[in-house]
Amino acid sequence: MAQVAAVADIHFGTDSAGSLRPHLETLPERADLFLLGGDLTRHGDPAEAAVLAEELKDVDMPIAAVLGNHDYHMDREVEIRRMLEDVGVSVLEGESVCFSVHGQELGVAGIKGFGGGFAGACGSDFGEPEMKAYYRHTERLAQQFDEVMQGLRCDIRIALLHYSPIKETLLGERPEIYPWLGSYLFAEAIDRTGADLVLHGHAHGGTEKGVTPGGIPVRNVAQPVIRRPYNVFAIER
Amino acid sequence: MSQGPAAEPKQYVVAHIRERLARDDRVNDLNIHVQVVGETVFLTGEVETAARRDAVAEVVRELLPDYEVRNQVGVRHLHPPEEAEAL
Repeated sequence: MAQVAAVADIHFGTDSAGSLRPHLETLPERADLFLLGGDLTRHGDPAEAAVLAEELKDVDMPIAAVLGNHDYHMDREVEIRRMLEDVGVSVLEGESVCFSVHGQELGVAGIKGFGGGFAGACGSDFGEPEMKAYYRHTERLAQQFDEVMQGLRCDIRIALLHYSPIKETLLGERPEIYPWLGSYLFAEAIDRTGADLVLHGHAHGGTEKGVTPGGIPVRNVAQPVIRRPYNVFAIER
Repeated sequence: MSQGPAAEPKQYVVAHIRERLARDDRVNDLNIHVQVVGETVFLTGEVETAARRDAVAEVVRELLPDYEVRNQVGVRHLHPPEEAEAL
C-alpha cells in the first residue's frame, strides 16, 4: 500500500517562511510521497519560490509538483521550476516520474492544465484568433497529457494537475467561472488511459471529492478546500 | 474611479475591487468575496496570514477612499489530518 500526501494552492510569499516546514518534519512517517498541485507562490516571484524551496529542502521523502497559474504570473516560471528542482522536487509539466514504494512502482503524471470548460458547456476551436488560441492551448495540453499517461507504466498511477478535470469538485464556485477552472479534456485523457487517483487544485471555493465520468477518484486538494497542510491518501493495488 | 459612492452601480464597484485585489501585488487574490451595501464594502473569505488580511483592506481603502471598508477576512489555521483516506 502506498500513502500519498498532497496539497495545492499554498500560495507562498516572502512572508511564508516557517509555515509549511513544521508540518513536513513528521510527514515521512505518514506518507511515502508528497505532491504539490500548483499555485505554489503568490504571484510567480522567484523570491517566493526561494522561500518555498528552503522549506522543502532535505525533507526525507520524494516530492513532485506541478505549477499553477499564479506561478506563471511574472513570466518567470522557468526560474521557479529550476529553484524547486535544485532542492530535489520533480516538477512536471506534461511529464511523469516513477518512485519505488514498498516493492511497487508509483507513477505520477503531472501537468498544470488550463481552462476551457466541461462537456456541454465549454469553448471550442472557433471564432476570433484569441478564442481559438485559448481553446487550442487546452487541446494541445490535453493531448500531451494523454501521451504522458499512455506512457506511464507503473503499478499505481496518479494524475496531478492544477486545473480541474471535472466540474463536480468545483461545486461551490460560481458556475459562470467554471470554464476558467478546468477542462473536461483532461478527464477524458485520464479515463482513456486509467489512473488510481486524480489530484488538482485551483478552485478555492470548490468541493473536495468527485469522480471522473469513468469512475476514477478525483480530489480537490486546494488548501482553502481541505483546510489542512495536506491530505493523505492510502492506495492499495 | 470617476463616480462617487451614490452614482456607480454596485456591480461595477464589486468588479473593480475584485480586479484590483487580483492585480495588486500586495494581495494577488482572486478569491476574496466582496459585497457592497450602500457606501460600505464588506470583505470576507480567508487568507494565509494576518498581514495578508490587512493588505486586503489597505488595497480597497486606497481604491475607494469614500467608502467604509469592513474587513471580515479571516486567517486560515491548519491542522494535519488524523487519518489517511483509503481509496
